[in-house]
Amino acid sequence: MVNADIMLVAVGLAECFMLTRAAVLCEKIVNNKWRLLWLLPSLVCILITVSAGTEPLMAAAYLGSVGLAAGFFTDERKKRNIISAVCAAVMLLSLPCCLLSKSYRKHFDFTGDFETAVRSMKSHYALTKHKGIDFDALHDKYLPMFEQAEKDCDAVQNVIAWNCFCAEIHDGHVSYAPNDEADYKKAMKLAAGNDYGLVIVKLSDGSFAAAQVDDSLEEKGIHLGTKVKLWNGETPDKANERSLIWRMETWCDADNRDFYSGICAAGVGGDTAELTFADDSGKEQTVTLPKLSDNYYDRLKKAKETIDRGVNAPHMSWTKVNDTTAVLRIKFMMFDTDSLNKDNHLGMKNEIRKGLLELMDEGVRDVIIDIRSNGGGSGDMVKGIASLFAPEGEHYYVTNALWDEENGCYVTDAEGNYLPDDDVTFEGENILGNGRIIILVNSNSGSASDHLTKVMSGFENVTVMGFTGAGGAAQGAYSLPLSCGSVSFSGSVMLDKDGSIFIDSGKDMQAADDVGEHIPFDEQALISLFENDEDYLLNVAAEKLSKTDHK
Amino acid sequence: MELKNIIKAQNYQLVRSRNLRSVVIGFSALTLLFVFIIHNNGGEYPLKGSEICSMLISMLSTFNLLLSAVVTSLICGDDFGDRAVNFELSSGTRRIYSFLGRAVPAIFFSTGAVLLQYILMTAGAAAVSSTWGCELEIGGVIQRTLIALPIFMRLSAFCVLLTYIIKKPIAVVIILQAIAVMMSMLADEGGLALSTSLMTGMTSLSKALSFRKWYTFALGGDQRIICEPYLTAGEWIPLVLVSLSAAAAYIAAAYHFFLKDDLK
Repeated sequence: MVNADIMLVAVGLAECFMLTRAAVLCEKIVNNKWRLLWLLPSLVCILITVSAGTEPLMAAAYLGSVGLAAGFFTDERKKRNIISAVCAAVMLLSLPCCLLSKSYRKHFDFTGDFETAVRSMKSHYALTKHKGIDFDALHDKYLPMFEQAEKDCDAVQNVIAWNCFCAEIHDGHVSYAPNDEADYKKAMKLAAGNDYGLVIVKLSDGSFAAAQVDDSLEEKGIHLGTKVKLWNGETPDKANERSLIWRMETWCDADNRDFYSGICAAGVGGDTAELTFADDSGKEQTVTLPKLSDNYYDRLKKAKETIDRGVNAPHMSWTKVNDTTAVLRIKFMMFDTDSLNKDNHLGMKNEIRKGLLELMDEGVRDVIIDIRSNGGGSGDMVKGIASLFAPEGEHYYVTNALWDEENGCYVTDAEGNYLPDDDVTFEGENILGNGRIIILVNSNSGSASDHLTKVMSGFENVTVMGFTGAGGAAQGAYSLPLSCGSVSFSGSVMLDKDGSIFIDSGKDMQAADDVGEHIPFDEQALISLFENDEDYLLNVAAEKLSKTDHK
Repeated sequence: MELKNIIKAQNYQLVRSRNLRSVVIGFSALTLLFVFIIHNNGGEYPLKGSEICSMLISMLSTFNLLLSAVVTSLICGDDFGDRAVNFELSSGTRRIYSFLGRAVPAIFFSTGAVLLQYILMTAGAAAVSSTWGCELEIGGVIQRTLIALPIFMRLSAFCVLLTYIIKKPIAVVIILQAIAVMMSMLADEGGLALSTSLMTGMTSLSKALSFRKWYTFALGGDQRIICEPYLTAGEWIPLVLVSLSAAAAYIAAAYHFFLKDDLK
């Protein structure tokens, strides 16, 4: 039991005892004000409960505390003593109720939160028509999951239900965050399944290979790069579909989803799992792998971090890659509060410009901008960065959708399409001159990173490069607080020049900011990343730049 | 008949009471001043009517709490100071009539004064700005105000209880303000569950007068805030029922205390 509840019962019992003594005193000292003592327990109960929150299982304690107020309405000692005794007994009932019940202080309004969120999204989600979302159908599909989680008082199941629901919308800005982050981690570990000692990754030729392999599998002939044929009798991409954590992943772009297809398969299984692979001689073998632990999530997370890693450098820092190339690492689209609120990122631009000019004096002519796993931030910062490297002149960024001030909603045409308002543009400075720029992205480069990718990919001297395209979620996000967490979704509409939705994929799941150059995730990439611990994409980008003619 | 005469006499006294008139006029002037200040706080672009109301409706509840306490304690407590209650009882008036003759007008008059503030807030916001805007629907303001009235009646009934115990209006006002400060420190206003918001009048008021908001923004432009104006039936019905029940309980307790009081 929590301290507040114990204190309430203990103080309540003490009050009952003291009031029996007070009842005797009141008979001797006849003063009307003494009866106020019987109101004190109610006040104490309210003070403790307001600070700690109510608990239905403590109803007996609340009733007992408030019931003592009945002593206010009588002067007879005998009646007052009976009231004290009855209230003490009632208060004591709360102890076994709380101690023996599994749902003590675990009452969550999961279904209420879900209903609130769906109601809000139905009214305010910006891409319902664009993505063809049927909120009523999704509500009916997932409500039983939330009801079960609430019945079981299971916060982890609640997180799983939320992630499955959000994944169906295919929008990187639609996500759920529980109040307790530990519940999120528990949910991921539960959903990922068991660890059998390897992660299966999909190569660019469509085959599957083992990665992040445990040493114990070496004796079975399984190592990094081993070709994986089947998992539990199914191809890895099919086995992948059975993984709960895969169902919880949100993919805005079908190509990005396809890249990671298979990666969750190796968590699916019971006490053992069956792996069919081609050994080093090319012969097909099937082995039974025992479960090493019930935590596939840590191995999966490590593998993804290896594939998705960016340059290991501080945020907004320049690092020389070679004599002619430097990389600017941007980990998130935020610089500082002054830039955000006061000087429109002028200070940031000055810092970037200063750093680059110093490098250019040393002979650097090309730049890599690394926005891998950059989850987004400020659109004004995107403008600031893009303007530094853009050719001189005015450039188009995005169009804001037209807002109806009177009715508090976006203006749409007869078919439900948003109407454009003002264009957002910026002036280019071309600080790099005739140097080349490569922007490195991955599927976690989302939101404002999507903006930067789309805007800069239009410059002649820029190439966007990565194993996958950027995330594909570019609308403005809104966060709705709920009782057990918060849900965010796209609420501010941004349009492209032709009036279509800016970047975000529609029903076809094709985001409008794909890479200019897909780097194959092949065996060479696999070895470089997992065995040699190299930044393969950075090396490829630097090599490409060194071979490029500069006009 | 006797009760009716007492209430009539109270109403006559209230309408002609300089103190009460000053208090109500003073608070009304304060309300209009707030409306004007907030309207011009928007800087280059003065705020619209709905924006003023969404900011002010919750802020105003703090002052209306004070107004309700002052009016109730003055109506119920003034006659203890000049011993008018003692003379009234000595002349044969029954305690129940003496009590109800003050408690009932106190609750209704203080609630009416509070309602006046919200009407002034809404009308003032609509008058001072060129357009109502979209942040908050006027129907939402009306619904929230109507829901708040039983809660203010509950708080007024609590003040009646305090006044009949302490018999000093100034002390009642100070105690109520102290409780308000303590409640706001204990309870997180934004995240109040309905069950906790029913505990006290102040937490109920917080639930009734705070809005769920959503916002959008334009790149390079301002943020737009839109309030969800209405409480659902599942939210406001318990608030109103509990408030009215609590008010009845406070009045019963106050009367019972007065019944046995020796009025020294």
